[in-house]
Amino acid sequence: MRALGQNSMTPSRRVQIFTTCLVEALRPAVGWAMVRTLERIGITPHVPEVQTCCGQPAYNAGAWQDARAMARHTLDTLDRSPDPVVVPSGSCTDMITHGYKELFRENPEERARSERLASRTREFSQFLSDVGAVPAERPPQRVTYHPACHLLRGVGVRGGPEQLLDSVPNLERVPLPGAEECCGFGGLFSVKLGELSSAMLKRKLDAIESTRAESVVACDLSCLTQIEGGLRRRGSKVRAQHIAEILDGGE
Amino acid sequence: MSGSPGLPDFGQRVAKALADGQLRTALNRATGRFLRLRAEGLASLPDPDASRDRARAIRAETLASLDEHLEQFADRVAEVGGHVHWAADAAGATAIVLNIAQRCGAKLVVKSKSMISEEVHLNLALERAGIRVVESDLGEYIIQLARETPSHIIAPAIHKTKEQVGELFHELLGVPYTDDPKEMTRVARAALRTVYLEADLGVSGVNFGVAENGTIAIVTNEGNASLATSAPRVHVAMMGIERIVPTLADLAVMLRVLARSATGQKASVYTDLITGPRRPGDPDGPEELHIVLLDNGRSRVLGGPSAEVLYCIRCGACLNACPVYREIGGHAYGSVYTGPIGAVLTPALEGIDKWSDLPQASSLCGACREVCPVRIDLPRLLLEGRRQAAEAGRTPLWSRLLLRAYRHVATRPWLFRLALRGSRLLTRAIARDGWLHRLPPPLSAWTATRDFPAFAERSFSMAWRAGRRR
Amino acid sequence: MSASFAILQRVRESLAIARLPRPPMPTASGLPEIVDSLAVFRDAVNALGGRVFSPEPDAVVGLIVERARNAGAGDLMAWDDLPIPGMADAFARAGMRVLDAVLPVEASGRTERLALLEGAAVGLTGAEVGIAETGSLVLASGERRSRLAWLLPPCHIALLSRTRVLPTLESVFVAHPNLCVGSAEVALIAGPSRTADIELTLTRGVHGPRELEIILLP
Repeated sequence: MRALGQNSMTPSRRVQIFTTCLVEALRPAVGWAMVRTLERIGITPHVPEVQTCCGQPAYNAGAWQDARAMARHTLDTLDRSPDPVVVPSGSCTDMITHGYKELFRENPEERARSERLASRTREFSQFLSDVGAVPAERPPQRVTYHPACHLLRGVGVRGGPEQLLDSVPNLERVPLPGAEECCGFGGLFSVKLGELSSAMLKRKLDAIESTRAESVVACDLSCLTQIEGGLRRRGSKVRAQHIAEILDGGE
Repeated sequence: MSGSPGLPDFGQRVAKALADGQLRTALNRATGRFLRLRAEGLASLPDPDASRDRARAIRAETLASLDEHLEQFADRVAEVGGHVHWAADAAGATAIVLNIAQRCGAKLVVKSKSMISEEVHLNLALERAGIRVVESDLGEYIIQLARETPSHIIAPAIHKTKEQVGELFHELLGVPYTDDPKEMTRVARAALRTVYLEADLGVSGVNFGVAENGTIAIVTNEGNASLATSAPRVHVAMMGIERIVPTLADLAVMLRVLARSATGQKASVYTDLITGPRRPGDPDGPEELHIVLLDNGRSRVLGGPSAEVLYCIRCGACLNACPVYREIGGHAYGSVYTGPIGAVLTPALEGIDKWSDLPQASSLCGACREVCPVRIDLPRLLLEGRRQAAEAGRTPLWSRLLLRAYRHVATRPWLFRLALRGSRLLTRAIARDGWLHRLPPPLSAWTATRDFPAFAERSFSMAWRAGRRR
Repeated sequence: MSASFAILQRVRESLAIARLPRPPMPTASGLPEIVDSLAVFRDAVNALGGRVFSPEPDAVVGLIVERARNAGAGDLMAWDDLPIPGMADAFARAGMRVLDAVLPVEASGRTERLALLEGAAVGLTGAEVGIAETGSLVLASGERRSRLAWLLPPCHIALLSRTRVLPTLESVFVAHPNLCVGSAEVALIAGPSRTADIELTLTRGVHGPRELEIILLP
C-alpha cells in the first residue's frame, strides 16, 4: 500500500459526497466506488439525502432564475454539515466553486455563502491528490485518460488524475492524442447543436481508438456519457470508466 | 437535412458547414498550424504569463479612463496635422468616409484590412457611390474577387484551396490558370501595383492608437497597408474607440503579444507608426490623414456586464483554439466578427435579439480563454450572452419548459426521487440491453449519432439510504 | 451637440456605472534578456530571410553598388542624406540612376511620379536602430528620407550602424523619445514582405520588397 501526493491540507476524517445528478441517475456504481476508495484511506463519507442538482444545466442555458433556485437548494444541502464536499465531477465542482459566484453576483450574502462553500469543495481526484490515495488491486488494463474541459480549465486540475492512474498497479496508461480537445458534450449543446456536437465527438473517438486502449477514463460522467454513447454506436469494444471505478479495483 | 432543434437558420448554416469536407480540412490545417505557431511564439518569451498579464492590465487601465485617453489622442492628432472624425454608428462612419472621398474626387480606393470597415459595410457604400474599391491584403483580395466574406480574422481566404484561387484568378483576371501559390502571389502583386499607384484614397484599419502622441500603429506581413497609406494622396484610418493605448511603452507590450498570439511571429513584418500626414520637407506621404473613431455600441458595452470584450486586440487566437470554429468556420456565424470573440461581441454591439444563436455555438470548453493574450473570460461572457438571450425569450421553448420543470423537481427532494423513479421505469421499459437507441425530438438529436444509457436500476442515494453496499 | 461630445459623454456615463475588472500590473516585465544585441539581431534577420553584411569601412561603397547591381539596378531610390561619402559618384560610374523621390502635391503629378518610381529596382535607406528581439529595422521618414524607398522597389538595402542595435522596442522608445513625434512615419520592418494567405504556403515579396539586405556600418 502506498500513499500519493503531498498532504497540502490536514485530511478531514469526514467528508460529504455531492453525488451529482448524472451519477445518481445513470451510474450509481461511481458513488460506491468513491465511498470504498475514501474508506480505504480512513475517511468516512456521508451522503446528504436531500441533494439534487447543482443547477449547471440551467446556468449554461441562461436560465439563471432556475439555476439560482437549484443552487440555493444545493447551498442549503451542503451547508448543513461543515464537512468538506467531494464531487465526482469536474463540471459540477466548477459550477459550485466558480459558477455560484457569478450566479449570485448581485447578492453579497449568497455570494459570501458560495465562497465559503467553494473553499471546502473539491473534485474527487483533486481531493485524492491532496490527501493521498491508495489504489486497489485490479487486473491488467490499458487505458487512456480524457481530461474534462471544466475540470482542466475551470477547476484547474491538470496532471493529478494521470498521476493517480499511474500509481495503479497493472494499469498501463497511454497518452490520448489531442487530449485537451473538447469531447463535444457541453450540456444541452449536445442536443441543441447535435450534429456539431457529434462532429467534435468523432475526433475524440478516433483519437481514443488510435491509442488501442481498452478503456477511456475520465473524472466526469458528462464526458463519459457522450463518449460511451458514441463508442457504442460505432460498435467499439472500448469501455468508458470513471476514475473512481478504476481506483476502486474490480474489473 | 435537419436544422438543430430551436435554432433554424443558424442550425442550417452549421449543417451546411459540417457537410463541407473541404472546408473542414482547410480549417483543420489552418487552425492547427496557427495554434502550434502561437505556442512556439509564446514559449520563446522568458515569461509569457507576465507579458499577457501586462497586456491585460494595460487594456483594463485604458478602458477605465477611456474618455481621457480619447481626448488626448484626438488633440495630439490635430496637433500634427491630422483630422479626427467621430462616428456614432455605422451610417455616420460611412458618411464621413464618403464625404472625404467625394471631396477629393476619388474614383479608386485601395484598402488594407480593416474590421471596422467591414463592420460598417464601407465597401458597399463606396461602390454605390460609383467609387471602385480594391482590397490589397492578398486574402481579402481573393475573397473580394470571389464576392465572399472573410472566414477568419487573420487569414480571410483560408477556406479556399489553391485550385479554387487559381480558377478565380484565371476567370476574373484573365491570367493563365495556375495552382502554384507563388505564381498566384506574383499575379496579385502585379494586379495591385497599378491600384496602389493610381488610387486617390487609401483606407486602412488601426491596430492601436497611442494617446500620448496621436500615433496610429498598423501591422501587416505583406506591406500592403504601408503602401496603401503612403502612395495615395489621402489616407483614411478607421478605428474603434476602444483601440487606444496610453503610451508608446504600452504599445510595445501589446505588439509583443499580438504577433505571437496571431501567428507565432515575434513581430509582424511591417509595423507602421504613423503620426500625422506628410510633413513639410518630406518627399512623400499622404497630404491628408483622416482618422475615423467609431463608437457603434462600444460606449454602451463599456458600462455593461460584457465590457471585458472590449479588451480584444483582434489576434484571432480564440478562433484557432475553438473546437466549434474548427468544425464550422467563420461563415456559419453569419457575422463580421466570428469565433468565440464574435459570439460575444456581435450580440453586445448589435443586440441579443438578432444574434441570440451565437452564444449557443459553444460547449464552453474554455480553450478560448486559455489562449487569449489579454485573458478575456470568454466563457463567462458567452454565459452572460445566454442569460440575455433567455431573458429576451430567444431560447427554444422546449428548453425553457424542460429547465423550468427540472428546477421544480430539483428543489423538491421527494419530487426528485419520484422523477428519478419514473424516468427509471420509462427508460428501462424502452431500452434494449440497457441502452436507448432512438428518442423522440428534440432528443433525437442525441440518438442520431449516440446511444443513451437507461437510468440505473437503483439510484445511488436510494441504495445509500437503504444501507446497501454493492 | 458635436459627435465627439456625444460619444465622450456616453463613455463617461458608462464608466460611472461600469464594473470593469481591475487586474494589477505585474511586477515582472516579461522582457527578454538580451546580452549581445548585435548577434541576436543578425540571427533574427537571417531567420526571417533577410541578409546581413559586415563590410570593412572602405568596402562599403563597393558593396552597395554590387548589391544594387545584383538586384538589377538600373534605376534606384535612395535617401539623400546617407553618411556615405562618394556614394553619388559611385552610382553614376556604375551607370545607375537615382530617381527623384519627391512627390508633387497635386494628384496628376503625383501619379506620374509614382509610375516613374515603380521602375526602381532598389531602395537604399539608412535606419535609426535595429531591434534584436524581433530582428526589426526602425526607419523614420523625414526630409530627404522617402518612405516609398523602403516599400516600392523589390529590393531594400538598409544601412545600419552596428552600434545602434537595441534589445527591445521598449528600449528604442526610451533611447529615442522623440522618434514618433519627429516623423510622419516610423516603420518597424522585420524581414522581407510575406504572406501565407493561399493554403498557408509562405511566399515572399507580396507587396513590399522581396529582398531585405542590411549593411552594417562601423
